[in-house]
Amino acid sequence: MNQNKNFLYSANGDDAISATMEALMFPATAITGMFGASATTTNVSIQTTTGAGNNNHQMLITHASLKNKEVMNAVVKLANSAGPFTVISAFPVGGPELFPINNLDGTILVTNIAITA
Amino acid sequence: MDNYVYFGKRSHFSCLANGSVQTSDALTAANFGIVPADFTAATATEEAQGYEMFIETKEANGSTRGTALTALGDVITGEVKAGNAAAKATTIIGDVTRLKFDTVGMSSGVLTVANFGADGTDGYLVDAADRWIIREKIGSTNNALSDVPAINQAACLNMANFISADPVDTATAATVGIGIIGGNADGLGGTIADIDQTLLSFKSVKGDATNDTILLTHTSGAYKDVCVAMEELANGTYHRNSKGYYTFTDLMSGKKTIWEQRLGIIGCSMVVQAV
Repeated sequence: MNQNKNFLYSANGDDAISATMEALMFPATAITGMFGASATTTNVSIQTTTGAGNNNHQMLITHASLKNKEVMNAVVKLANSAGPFTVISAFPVGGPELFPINNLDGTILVTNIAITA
Repeated sequence: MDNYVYFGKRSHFSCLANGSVQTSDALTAANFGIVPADFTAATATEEAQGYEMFIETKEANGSTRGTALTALGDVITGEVKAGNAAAKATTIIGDVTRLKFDTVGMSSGVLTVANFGADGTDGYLVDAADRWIIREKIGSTNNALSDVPAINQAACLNMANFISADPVDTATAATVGIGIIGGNADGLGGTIADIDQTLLSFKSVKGDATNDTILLTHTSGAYKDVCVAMEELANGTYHRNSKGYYTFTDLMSGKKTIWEQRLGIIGCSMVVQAV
């Protein structure tokens, strides 16, 4: 059995990661919960890494309409995958943003992931 | 690796009409998940408003039920009372009447129905022994009271953050717990039965000091079974051999999950701290 801790990685913005919350890596077990924020967005809360205030980090996933439940399911699949380094979204240098999360469910069509502190 | 549990809501509330009898007790975020918008009695559909209102008769009375309410038929049996006007306006113990918005207003979570004397068509003279049931309408077009994605409509929570399952008081007169069990989407063919509620607490999704809570309405006596289910969900090895994603309730979908079936869950509302 794999004993490594699974870490999730998500980048948003561009390939030059150089700003706060432009990207985040966190242990999969840091996901505290998810809820549909609108028909086309789902919010994922991540236990804060900064210790600032009481608020967790939030990852807002933009996706196909009314696919909130499927997106939550896909995030759980990633969180519970063997890892140990699981990419949700990333920017190859010079390339467009990629969303490997879409490979888990062809209907969710994730187009953006924004991370806020 | 953790197990995650999806809770989809369908708010449910019941109370004894023991106070000002033409009014319900107040719906709150804690007991209904949401305080429905204020509404002045007028013609409106349940689908548009987002909830259904029933009165279970616990004391037989004449001159009680408006003709339009009688014409809807009993919620459970479907029987439309026959006879003259007086007979149609008389209720007997066990009748379950669907109220109409024509004479029911909502203010700060309190429903008020006009009495029969004031409106012989849509009014209802509530007896102090009668009991109210209010529940969300499946197929609602009210975005605030439906399955349209928004906070407190549904949540997927990490069972590693589960804190406790506490029984909710439904046994005293003021907090009487009843519900329509079984039957079709409108309640036809079901039964009126006692229900219990359990409050599930989780560490806040937001990360603040206030817990997020899930209020389950379920078959009477099922509290311990709810606890066992939570233990199974927290400690189950589903995440090790599959994806670790459970759908516990999805009541507004009109389908029944294995947990709803097993525990007789008929209501689920939640208070998740806004991020």
